[in-house]
Amino acid sequence: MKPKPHSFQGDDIEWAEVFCRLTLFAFERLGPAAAWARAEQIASHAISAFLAAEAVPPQIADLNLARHLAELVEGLVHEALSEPLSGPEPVLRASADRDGGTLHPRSGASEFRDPISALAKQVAGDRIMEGVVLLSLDGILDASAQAAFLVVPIIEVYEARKRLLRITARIRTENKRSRDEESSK
Amino acid sequence: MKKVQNEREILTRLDAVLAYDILTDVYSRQEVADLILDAGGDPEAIGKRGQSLVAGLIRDLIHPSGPKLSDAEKTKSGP
Repeated sequence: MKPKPHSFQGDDIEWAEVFCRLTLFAFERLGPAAAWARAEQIASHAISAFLAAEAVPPQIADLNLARHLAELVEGLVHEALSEPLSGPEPVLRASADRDGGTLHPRSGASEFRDPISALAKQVAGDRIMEGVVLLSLDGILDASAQAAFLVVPIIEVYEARKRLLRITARIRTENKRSRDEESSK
Repeated sequence: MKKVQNEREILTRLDAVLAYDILTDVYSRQEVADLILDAGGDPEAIGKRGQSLVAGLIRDLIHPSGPKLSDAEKTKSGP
């Protein structure tokens, strides 16, 4: 079961909801640089560009609008962050210690200086969430493939991904707060 | 070093995949609103501004010679 774009197709596009989703998407993609005004501005520009493109409206019924808008937002986020090579800083870091299919916090690491430690701590005991992270580290990002590997219904993978998003958002917020406090000293 | 770079790319993609789920029916309207609220945003105000933005843009498309939506309105956003 693939997730469908929500109310994103046909003539009855609920733009208030689309805009909320797109703004939240931009906010997430901005990573540590996330700010609501900035995210909203990016969502505005993406929708403006979408509606201004003359070739798009006639094909709207066949278009995967969510993916199209997401691509526009990604491009704008890329520009906003001015990081042409690396893109947004991932909340999760590449330095996860992995051993036997389990994530371990690094000993002695300051939790908020080392987001993977915070992440490992927070996903500990949640078999599916740990599995999603480990499979992702192995490059398996598709939800249906993750479900097959974990031998669980795909809905459980999506629920785990939701929990993961909340955790990564919380880690990002704590990191930002920590950096702000340090810079104000 | 290459492996670390690759993992970083993968993790960047994971961030993108988690975020992309927001644009699908994996998340209900209420869950989207809750996420915005939890991160300090105002979903109702954002939605209203979005609706108003699109109404203006569509008006401009239908009546290109009419009064234009100003750039300030196009990019106006909340606190």
